[in-house]
Amino acid sequence: MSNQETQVSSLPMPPERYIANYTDENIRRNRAPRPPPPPAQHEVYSMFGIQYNNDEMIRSLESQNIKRLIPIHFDRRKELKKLNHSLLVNFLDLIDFLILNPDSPRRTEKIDDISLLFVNMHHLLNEFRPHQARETLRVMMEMQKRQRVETAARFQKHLERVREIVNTAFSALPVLDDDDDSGGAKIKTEVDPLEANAAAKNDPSYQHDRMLCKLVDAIE
Amino acid sequence: MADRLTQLQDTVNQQAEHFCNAIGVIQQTSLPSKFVNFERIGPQTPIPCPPQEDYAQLFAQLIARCAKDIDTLIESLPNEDSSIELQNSSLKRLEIENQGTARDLEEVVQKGELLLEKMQYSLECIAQAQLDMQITLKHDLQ
Repeated sequence: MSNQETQVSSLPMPPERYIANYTDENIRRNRAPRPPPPPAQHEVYSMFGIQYNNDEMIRSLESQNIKRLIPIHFDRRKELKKLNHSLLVNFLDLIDFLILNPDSPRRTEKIDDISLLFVNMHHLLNEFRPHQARETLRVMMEMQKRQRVETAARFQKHLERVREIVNTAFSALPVLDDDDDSGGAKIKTEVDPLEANAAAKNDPSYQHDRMLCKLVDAIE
Repeated sequence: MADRLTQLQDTVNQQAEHFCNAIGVIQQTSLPSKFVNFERIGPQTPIPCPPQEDYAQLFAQLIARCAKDIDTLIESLPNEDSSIELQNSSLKRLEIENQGTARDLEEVVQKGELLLEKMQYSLECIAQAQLDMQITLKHDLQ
């Protein structure tokens, strides 16, 4: 009805028509059209000749002037199965009409009934789409959370391993201390006649001790 | 492969095509039948040879199998138990948990960075001490 009155195209124009509005010159001269404002809470807007209401994402069958075959509160799967079986029964009835009385007006009525059944089935299936979108989003968030937990656990494991390596290296240090003592003994025997170097003998041990103290402080 | 809703809608559309094709093909390949008590005296119209296949049986099988597929796909759809409120609360809970795990991950990364700084400082001290020892040894040799 509205399509015949206003002659609205059912598809958008090709992208070149929109791209041409946004050349650099148009943007510089502020001629590029701005995006439309978002619709208000209960505003009804028209998109390609179809009226849309912001409240419901999917238009109900009543608002499309289509007869509703299912009750208001229903189990979707049972109603879909009923519609499927009704399709078969109506098809068999149509074949009977074609065999017995092909020219009767009931044939066209039967065809309209079958079309109505198909429309109702598709509407019920399309009502699952918002649920499907939310479920997909939930699955994505679950995967994100699992990835984060696994990454944190792996990082923690590497952290513990690094700490173990550092502690192992630290526990291996006293062996160097013993070697240093024996080295110190050698130095003492070598420079024993020269008393002037007695002060210098303490320097390597002092430096080594300072290194050990700094290492212990850093690790703890 | 598409999701189950798209599969189901495609199967419903396929069933509609089966309905149209069944009537069209059967009508196209049907044989003329004689009227009762109305036979011509002259020579009979030659009856064309019957078709090799039974199209009625073929389309009946196709339509029945398609209807069974539709039933199976309908059975695989989710129940009404997962309603909108349940989904929304689940999404909010998942968002909170995601933020919590993000904070945990940041804390672990910060610990790792602290340990890295400590190790770098330790290595720096070790290198400095080694340099000092080398200088001291050179002095002793001189």
